[in-house]
Amino acid sequence: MTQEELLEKLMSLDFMSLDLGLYLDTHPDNAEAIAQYNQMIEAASLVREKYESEYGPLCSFRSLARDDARFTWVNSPWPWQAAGNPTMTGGCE
Amino acid sequence: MEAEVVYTATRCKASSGSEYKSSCGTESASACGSECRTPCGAECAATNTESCPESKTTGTKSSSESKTTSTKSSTKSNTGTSEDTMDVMMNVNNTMIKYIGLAQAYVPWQNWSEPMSPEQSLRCGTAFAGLTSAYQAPKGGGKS
Repeated sequence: MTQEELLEKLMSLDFMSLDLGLYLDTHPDNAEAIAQYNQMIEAASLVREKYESEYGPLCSFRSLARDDARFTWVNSPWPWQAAGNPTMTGGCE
Repeated sequence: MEAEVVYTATRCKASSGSEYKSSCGTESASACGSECRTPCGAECAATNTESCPESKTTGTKSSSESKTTSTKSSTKSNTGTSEDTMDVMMNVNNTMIKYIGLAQAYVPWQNWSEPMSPEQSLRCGTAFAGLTSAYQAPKGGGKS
């Protein structure tokens, strides 16, 4: 997977867990939703780990600083840079 | 005794700011219970009737006199919405006001459905296909 593909995958998994979390706010007893929510959280953690190990930290306060000698978060793409925004080809159909 | 209360466009406009004319013969919408009130409609185009269990009203008519039949054709209005659709929307609006009340929000209960894939969910802005509601810009770029 390329950096962009990994980032898009992570964004979609994070969005999915957020939206399922919203559903669970009003349906806290739905076991199927809980199972899918946990599945998304675990999948997102794996992708986040893979992305950060290859391309650097995504977050300035939650990501592990892997370089002991230099804080490299500033080297990661900023949200307004193209590298920080997957192309997202295709629409909602 | 039940009385049939008739609200016309004239009476709607005469209610000075209130969308309702109370069936108790007052201008206040809160003077009667919600079951006694009938909204006039967005443009007060139609004559609405409603039964009121408290017979304190003036200007009553018998049911046979007050039944109004809509003879509007299904032409498109300049907003792109057919008049039939507008009628349905107004009926829904009236029903919501009657049973729930003004300024009371109602959101239909969402039943579980299998979510879309994460990628599709991100593109659609929701994990649930039933909530997908793509924004459609009005013709002319939204300028009036």
